[in-house]
Amino acid sequence: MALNLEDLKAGGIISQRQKNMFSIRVKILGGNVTSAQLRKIADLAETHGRNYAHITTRQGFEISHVNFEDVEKVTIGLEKVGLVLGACGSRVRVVVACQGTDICPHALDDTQLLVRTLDERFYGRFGVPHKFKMGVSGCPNACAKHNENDLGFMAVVEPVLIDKESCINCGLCAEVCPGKAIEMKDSLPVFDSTKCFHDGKCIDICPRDSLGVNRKGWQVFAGGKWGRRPQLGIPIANFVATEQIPEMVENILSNYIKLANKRERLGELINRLGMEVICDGCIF
Amino acid sequence: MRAIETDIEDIIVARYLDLQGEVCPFTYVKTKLALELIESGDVLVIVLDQGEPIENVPRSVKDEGHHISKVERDGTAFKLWIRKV
Repeated sequence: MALNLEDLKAGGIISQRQKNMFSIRVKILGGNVTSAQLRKIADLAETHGRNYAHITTRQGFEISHVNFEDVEKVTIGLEKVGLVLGACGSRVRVVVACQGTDICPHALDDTQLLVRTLDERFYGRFGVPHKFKMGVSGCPNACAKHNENDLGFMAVVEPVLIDKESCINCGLCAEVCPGKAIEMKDSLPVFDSTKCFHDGKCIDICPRDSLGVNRKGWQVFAGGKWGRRPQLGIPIANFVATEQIPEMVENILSNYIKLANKRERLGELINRLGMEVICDGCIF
Repeated sequence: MRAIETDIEDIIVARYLDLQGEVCPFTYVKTKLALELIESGDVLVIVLDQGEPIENVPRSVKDEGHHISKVERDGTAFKLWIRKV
């Protein structure tokens, strides 16, 4: 086998500073890893590495200090528990996410479902001008830091008074609203949508379920990045349904590929040409 | 004038718990313990500070299926009437 370092890197096999040593990047989707997978990672690190694994910033693992001769043994071992290598280089990277509605009381939508949807269609895609990262947060707490990714998705809801008869004028909705977007007027809550964070705290706390969901979906952020010139993604669309997301991402990716210079991140393209060029159907 | 539930006024409060000065998760833990000590259909009254306690405890109480019948503001605190499910 001819050793081409660039090829190896694209596949998640990273050349270390130590000669002939590699760090094997393992993709963990949305941060969820099974017990069997954890055991296998531990075994492989013990047998072929230096008895530890590094937790990556994209919720994966790297098994470091693997001799070139052992790389294949590690990848075969990973395959046995359904694990694949993590992407590197100018590719669509692993999608990161919080746990979402699976466990979190704050979560507003199924982050893991969106992660799987994005992963199936886009993971590892190459031919993009630079690395391309996506992240998913289940509510405006933004624990998954979705807006530091090229594309970020944050679950949001728009509250509405669905049953004014049942409202007991307790004012808890106004009290807990982080945006101070609710005022009690004539014994009923009145919403100021310009102040609303769409986190649904008012709906959750309402003792009488007088408040409900008017609209829900994903707020989409574009252009986030880190590195030497960090910047946060800017909201480009609101209340987008899970099933609409793949087409939107496809559209943005194709504009990005068409317009960006080599090694220009999506955020840098937006800085140079404006948000309009990357998304035809978006609301700004 | 909308009908605001008044049936609670006639109900004997089975237990009273002042949680002012308590922090999460003790606010909810103590609420839960107090609810375990009363019968189904009985009412527990709790007093919660604003901020984290009022943001979290009513939601958790609701999630467990209990019914919050009445809420009163008392300075910076809130008094909640909880009917055990």
